[in-house]
Amino acid sequence: MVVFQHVLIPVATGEDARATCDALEPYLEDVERVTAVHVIEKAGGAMDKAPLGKRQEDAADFLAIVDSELGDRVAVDTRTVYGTDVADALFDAATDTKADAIAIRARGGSRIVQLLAGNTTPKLVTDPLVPVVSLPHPNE
Amino acid sequence: MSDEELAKDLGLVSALAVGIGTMIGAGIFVLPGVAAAEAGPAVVVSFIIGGSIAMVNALSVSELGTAMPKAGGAYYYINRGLGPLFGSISGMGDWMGLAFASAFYCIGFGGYLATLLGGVVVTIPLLGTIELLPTIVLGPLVLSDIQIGALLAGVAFVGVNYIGAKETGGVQTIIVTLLMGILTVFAIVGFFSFDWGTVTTDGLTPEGTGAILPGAALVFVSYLGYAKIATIGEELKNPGKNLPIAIIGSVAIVMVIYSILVGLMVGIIPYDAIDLDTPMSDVAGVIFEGNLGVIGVTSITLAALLATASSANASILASARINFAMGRDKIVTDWLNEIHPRFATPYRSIAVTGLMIVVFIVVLGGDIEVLAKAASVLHLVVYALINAALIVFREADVPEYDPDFTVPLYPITPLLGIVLSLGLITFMETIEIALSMVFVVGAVIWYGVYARHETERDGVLSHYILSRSGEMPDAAVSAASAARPSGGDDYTVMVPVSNPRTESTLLSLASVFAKANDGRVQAVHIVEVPDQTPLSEGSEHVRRIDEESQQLMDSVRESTETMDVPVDVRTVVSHRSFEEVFDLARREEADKVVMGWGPGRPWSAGRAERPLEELTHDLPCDFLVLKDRGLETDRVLVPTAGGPDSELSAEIATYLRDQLGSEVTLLHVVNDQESEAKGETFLTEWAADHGLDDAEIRIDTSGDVEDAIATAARDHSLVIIGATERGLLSRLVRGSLAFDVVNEVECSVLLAERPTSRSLRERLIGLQNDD
Repeated sequence: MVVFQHVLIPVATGEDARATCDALEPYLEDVERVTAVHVIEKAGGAMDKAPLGKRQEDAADFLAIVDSELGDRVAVDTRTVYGTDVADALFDAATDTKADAIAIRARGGSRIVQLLAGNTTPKLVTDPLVPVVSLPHPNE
Repeated sequence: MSDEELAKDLGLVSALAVGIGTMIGAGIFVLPGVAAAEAGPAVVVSFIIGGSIAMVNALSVSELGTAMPKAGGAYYYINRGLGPLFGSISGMGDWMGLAFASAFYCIGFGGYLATLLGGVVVTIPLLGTIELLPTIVLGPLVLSDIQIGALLAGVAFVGVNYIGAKETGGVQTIIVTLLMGILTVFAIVGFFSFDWGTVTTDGLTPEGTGAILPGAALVFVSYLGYAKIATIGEELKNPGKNLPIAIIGSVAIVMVIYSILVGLMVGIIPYDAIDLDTPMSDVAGVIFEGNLGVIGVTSITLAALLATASSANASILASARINFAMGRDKIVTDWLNEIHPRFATPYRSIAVTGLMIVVFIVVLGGDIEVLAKAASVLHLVVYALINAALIVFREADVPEYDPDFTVPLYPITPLLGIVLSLGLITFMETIEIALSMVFVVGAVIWYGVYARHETERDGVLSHYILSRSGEMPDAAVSAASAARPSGGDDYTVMVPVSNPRTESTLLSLASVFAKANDGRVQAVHIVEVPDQTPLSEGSEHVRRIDEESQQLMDSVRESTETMDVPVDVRTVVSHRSFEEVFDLARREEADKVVMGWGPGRPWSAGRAERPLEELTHDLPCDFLVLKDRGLETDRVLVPTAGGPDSELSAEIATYLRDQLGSEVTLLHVVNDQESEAKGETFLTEWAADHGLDDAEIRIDTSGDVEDAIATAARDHSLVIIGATERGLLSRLVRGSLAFDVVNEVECSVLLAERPTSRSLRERLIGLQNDD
């Protein structure tokens, strides 16, 4: 099996950041570098659905969690990116940072929530530009 | 493209679309019938007057918007300019004004929906048939079919924004383009049905010229959209250029469209016969008869639905920005602004706004005029405050205030804005004004019982008044201090340290001042790193520095005698530590800064991006700089020549005496023996004035200040020297301090400088003298 030295992890919320770090924990031996990315969805020319300043403040908080959880184990970089499509923005970030793979913790949720909120996972796995790894829950 | 450019992705066209899209819904599709019935064919003039008032205010909003392209728009400017009391009024006013306006747009939508679906019945087995939009009677509450339609619309708009349906910029621009297209066809076709005779049947002003201004008050709600552009200032590309063009441009475009279309309408249907709920469908029925027919009428109705929907939508989004800006300043709880983990929307803010809209539709939806005018009154109050804030920013000469766009004819334009905005309110009905005032008074009470204790930010106005308390009328001074925020204004003594190990004396000294004022000490470890080291948050390097520094600071805190004063420690990594000291003091609203001076401290090199004079001539608070030769406070020497500058030295001396039992000696230097008695009288009085009656008085008759201090210093352990000339700090940095005595004496010297507020003129002259 290939070893991914540089992994990009998407971080959507504080809880997501912790869950992803926990899920990544067992594999850190083989990982040298983690780039955590928070995507702020833009409306591409209309008013954003949430105030930009609030999203930016939150982004810094979420990314700081990854830094404090993993910072003593591997090299951690964090960045906030903007895009009208979350999956595209993540692949762009992966290309930019030369990440070997994107590692995700699928957030699941009920179908109705996925339908209303949109679900990024299928978009990430169906047409990936870099390998996408779906991390198992550490306690299962 | 850089990330910064991607974050700010609203270009000029999009911004114009937001402005036009918000305005056009209300003005043209909802109001012409009601307004024409009120003002007669001269309603066109009402629309032009309303638009002109909006234009004057748009100029002021543009100037403030380019100076501060921040979320929240009007609220943000007013809070910064006039302080949090007026900030609360404007935030609440703007927010509720938007809720009223949204309810109004929904009612407009409901009206057109009722036209479209009117009389449509659905058959439900066993229950018989019911109308799709029924009229519901609940006790005393009657909900018309229009209100039912409005409620459906309101809930749908709020729902869409709650779950954050994917909206792309294209849609908004397409909707606005489509609307303009439909209205153009309407205008061209309508022109052929226009009959001057219809306009003049009863004369141009059958309701009297006195009805024109109340008409303007009614239709003013049609112009509320431009302010939404300002609330999304931080999302705009190149706001310095695009914001004024979009704001002023959208008001101008909409004003022209309104005037043409309303002018046509009163020439097509007599002013008193235009439908009150759905005027455009009514007129469309006439002009499209015999040509486009039903298609024409239906597309106008659909256009009306689109237009009112986009107005309501933009208002709901804008109110979330206002909540966010208020939450940031702690005027409302930040709980309101939490982002939904899945929908990525400010769902609570939207839900609360949505609830308001629904309540307004149910309770007041029967009378569209009340909704429209309540929205206008609240917005006009806010506009008057915006203009006042603009004047304050200009007059107070705030260095950060640097707008790209400036209003023409200052101060006439903002003064005119205030007069016109408040003037227009007088043409509203009592009930509408009273309704709005409930929210204004509510905001004042809210400020008194909640926000005042939470928010920390003072306005430019109260700084201006309180810093000139001598020149200002007493009433203004006491009002300004009474209204000041009390949240977070603990007495704060900031201690910037570069080497925590060797600077614990500073911490002890700061604790003395904090103790005397029941305050706290904020110790900041400032780590200067070279320019090429990135400071980006979370970078490994910075994190490491942070960790090491925290440990260091914690151990210093534990080992230092701090008299049980609360001590916070933190770390700041900076490229320019000297400048950082000033920025921090300003940001943390420190009351005193205690810092060390001498080799080994990066700020002694005085690296700053801004000119030194600018920093050191505009001190954010009292500065105490210790030339540290070991802190022994048992015998303190305070040389004074009187004047405001030695007041700070006296204050410090009393703290040391009260907290540490220091013995204080006051030294005054006179030129010869004859003046000795006079000098003694002066010094005794000065001591009494400054609470230092018990201090030893010493008069030196040598006439040489420096020698006198050096001699007296020999039997003292600390000398406190007030800045007898301006710019003590800048001299210190440049090594041109007039007092060589600081270097000559063997004990520690504490230099004290208190900020002065000087006029621009004095500041300029002061600068010239220094150079």
